[in-house]
Amino acid sequence: MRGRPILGVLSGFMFGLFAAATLFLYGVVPLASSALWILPIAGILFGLVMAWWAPFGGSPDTAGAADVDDD
Amino acid sequence: MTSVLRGRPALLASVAAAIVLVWSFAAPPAHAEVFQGGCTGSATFEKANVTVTEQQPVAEPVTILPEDSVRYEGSTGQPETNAPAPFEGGITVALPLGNWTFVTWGGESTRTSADGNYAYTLPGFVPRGTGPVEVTATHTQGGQTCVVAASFAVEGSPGPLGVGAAAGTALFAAGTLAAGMKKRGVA
Repeated sequence: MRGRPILGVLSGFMFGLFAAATLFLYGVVPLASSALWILPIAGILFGLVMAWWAPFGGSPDTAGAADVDDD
Repeated sequence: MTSVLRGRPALLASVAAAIVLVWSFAAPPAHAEVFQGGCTGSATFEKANVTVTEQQPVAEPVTILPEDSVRYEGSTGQPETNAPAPFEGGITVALPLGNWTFVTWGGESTRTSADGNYAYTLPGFVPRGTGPVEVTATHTQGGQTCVVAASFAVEGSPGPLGVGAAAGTALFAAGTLAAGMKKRGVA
């Protein structure tokens, strides 16, 4: 993968976990909602997608270098 | 060609994740409303001024106070027996995965009804203002099993716990997006 899969998995899982907790604590979903265990899994998937897609940044070592004419 | 194949799996995975999220919110709670057996009963929360009976729909949560006194009464609908008969029961909370039985009772008795008062004070760590919590009470006596479920929510606001959860959500959302940063040396 071009991105960072370990960061994606860990952050994605924690993102889903905290999002689920936030939704329950603010009364959006009941405690028995399946969203509370699906969101961490969806977070992992989201993290893997981001790591695979890697739309941000780029190595300065491989950035398109201007053609240099050596005279 | 490579760019087309590169884009499609990510799009499909994103669509799949979106479908999973929509389904998870649209899906009903893990346990549907149940009412079984011939038992009757009621619980009156005196400060909250609300009465819950066995007919209370699960889809209509009852808001209770963090501290209150409950006047309760219940009956199996059966005549009292001459000899003590065994009974057992418990109260279960529905969780995202499975259930948690936090109180049980059992023994033998000739009585088929009960009433009384119970005062409670919720611990400080119990969050207020959350989504409904489905509670199921089960009682078996005289060959009859009664099951009653109701949803409860504690009045109040989540407080620092909610703020912390929201902050954690934002923090780890940023971390997840950061996973999309290309590694050094990768085009």
